[in-house]
Amino acid sequence: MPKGILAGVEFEIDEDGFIQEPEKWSEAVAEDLAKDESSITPMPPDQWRLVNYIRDYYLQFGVAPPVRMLCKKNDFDLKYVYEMFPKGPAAGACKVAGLPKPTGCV
Amino acid sequence: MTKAATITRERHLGTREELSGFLGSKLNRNLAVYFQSCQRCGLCAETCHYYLATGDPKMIPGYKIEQVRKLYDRQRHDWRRKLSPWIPGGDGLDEQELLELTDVVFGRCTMCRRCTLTCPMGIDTAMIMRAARGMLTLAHKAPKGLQDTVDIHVMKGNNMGVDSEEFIATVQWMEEELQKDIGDPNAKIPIDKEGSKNLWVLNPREVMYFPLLLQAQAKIFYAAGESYTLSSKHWDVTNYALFNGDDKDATTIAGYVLEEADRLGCDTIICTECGHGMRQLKYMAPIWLKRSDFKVRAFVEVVADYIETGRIKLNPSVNKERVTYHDPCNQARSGNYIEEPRVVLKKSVMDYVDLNPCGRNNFCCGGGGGALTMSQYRSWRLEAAKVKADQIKATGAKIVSTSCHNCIDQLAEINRHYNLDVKVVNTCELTADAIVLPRRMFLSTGIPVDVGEQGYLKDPTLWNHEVAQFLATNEGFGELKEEHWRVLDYVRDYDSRNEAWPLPQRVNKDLTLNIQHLFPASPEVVFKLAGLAEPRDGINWHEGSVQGN
Repeated sequence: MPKGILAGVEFEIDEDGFIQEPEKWSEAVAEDLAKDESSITPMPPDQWRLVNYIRDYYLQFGVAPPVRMLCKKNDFDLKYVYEMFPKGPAAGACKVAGLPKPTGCV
Repeated sequence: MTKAATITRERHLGTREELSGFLGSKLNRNLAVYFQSCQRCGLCAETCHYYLATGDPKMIPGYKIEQVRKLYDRQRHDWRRKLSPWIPGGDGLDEQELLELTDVVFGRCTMCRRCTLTCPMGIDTAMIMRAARGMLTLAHKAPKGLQDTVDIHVMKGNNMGVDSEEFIATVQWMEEELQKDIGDPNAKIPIDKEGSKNLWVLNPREVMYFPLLLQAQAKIFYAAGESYTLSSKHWDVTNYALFNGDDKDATTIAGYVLEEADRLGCDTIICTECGHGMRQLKYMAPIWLKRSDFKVRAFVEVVADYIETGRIKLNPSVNKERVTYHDPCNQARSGNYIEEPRVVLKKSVMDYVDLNPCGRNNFCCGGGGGALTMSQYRSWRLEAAKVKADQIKATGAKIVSTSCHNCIDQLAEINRHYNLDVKVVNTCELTADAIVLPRRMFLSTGIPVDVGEQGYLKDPTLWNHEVAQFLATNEGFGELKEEHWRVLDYVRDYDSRNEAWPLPQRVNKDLTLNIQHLFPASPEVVFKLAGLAEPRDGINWHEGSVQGN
């Protein structure tokens, strides 16, 4: 597995850019990951809200939240979610939140 | 932190003996011929996107299948094995050899079968690769992302582990969005509706991350008045065991969908825009499950059918930019859907252009064979995609559409990697945007009233004041007043007596008012609001003298 430096910490990162050691994630790491993923950096409050929601959900349930939850629980419009993270919630927002790459076609 | 749920599936690790017998166990007549018949002519070289992008002779399909054939030969005929079968080695199953083979069969072939078209012997490279992949899967060498996708599917019923409750909630959400979009509070996206003709199956990616694609397809079904249902239990069209070569898991996964088709009494399965999902259900499931009493249709095929039989109407002018279409390998080359997507796109957009080459000869996007799940091969995948990027650039298209969820993600990555500056969309999105729906209202009694494209009632016998007010609102009028009603009643009466329409001057004279003031748009709107039948061959004015009376 290739290594990379995020916020001064060495990480194992897969070729799609997902970190492999979620326990080493921090807000500074997220900002570093966001450089390629978020429409605006440093991330404004709405982006942070989404990232934190995804992370908390993942820590609680062990899986990424579906986009329905992202919208309903945060009162975001679906289009707005795609605007914030242009690659979509899976390849973009989940990556910033330190989740592993989802299974299936993403 | 809480330990994230990891995939813990006990899978049998093949013993050395099982592994060395694996290829032999998969040997059928076809495979035996393919192993024997390569002429080393090299015609396949220039068909392969890996070779074209790199120029590396190790990327030539003939070389890649040779690695598998050699392994098989060694296991069967190697003299060391014959002389000293108790000494390990020589069977090509040492760790390093397995890893090298993994890179070849998982990392450097997308099983797109383009080489098969050119091969004078018709060697099906994908079949050989799948056999080798099966062996490596048994040896626990399949790339983790691919194997995880299969494991989750087998254990949870779909490849992203979406639970039934969440699935239903997402479908209901999209049902509400659909109702808002088309203005029909009774529009439904049926779940578990027994006796429907079609079972509609999805890609979990749509449910988890791109639900608007559900809405787009449901809108098309709605416009066509299709009889269909989703299943709340097994609704996932994908089958990644097609790519890891594990026939047992492949059979289990394909069986999930068939189980639901049986339970709900559907004789046809309509697959969302998913290339391999359609292919495995249509062409592989009958073999794995040993049954052929079901039909499988690709979404693009269904839509082409709606267009050709007039079940849906499209207005392409909403999609003005130049659009091209990427033929998914599993759909075009391995499914023979060549005409259908072109029928759909030529009616859905203004400016359609083919890639060159296209159809059966189209290049793989580079994401086939489950490549997108295998992160470790990403750089090779994107390097080989240069062929596709050049093809897209040459068309000058602003929008690249395709009918495969796997291709979509790869195309989106190509778009970023090669700075193509195009929009990548599913074909169904373009069609859904272009759909012209009959406008529909519901009377307080619940009876639906449809309005045609020109604004006339489809069934004039349904006219009453409630309908007239609805039509008026549709045409931009406020509440109709007594003077309006006088005009409408007069016109209706006139039409029924004369079977022709009165000239506006006549209405003005007889009612001593000015309909231009009352209905400023055009005189024709009066007849629409009055609920008269749409004049198909021009308006039949009643030419009786206005003065005469």
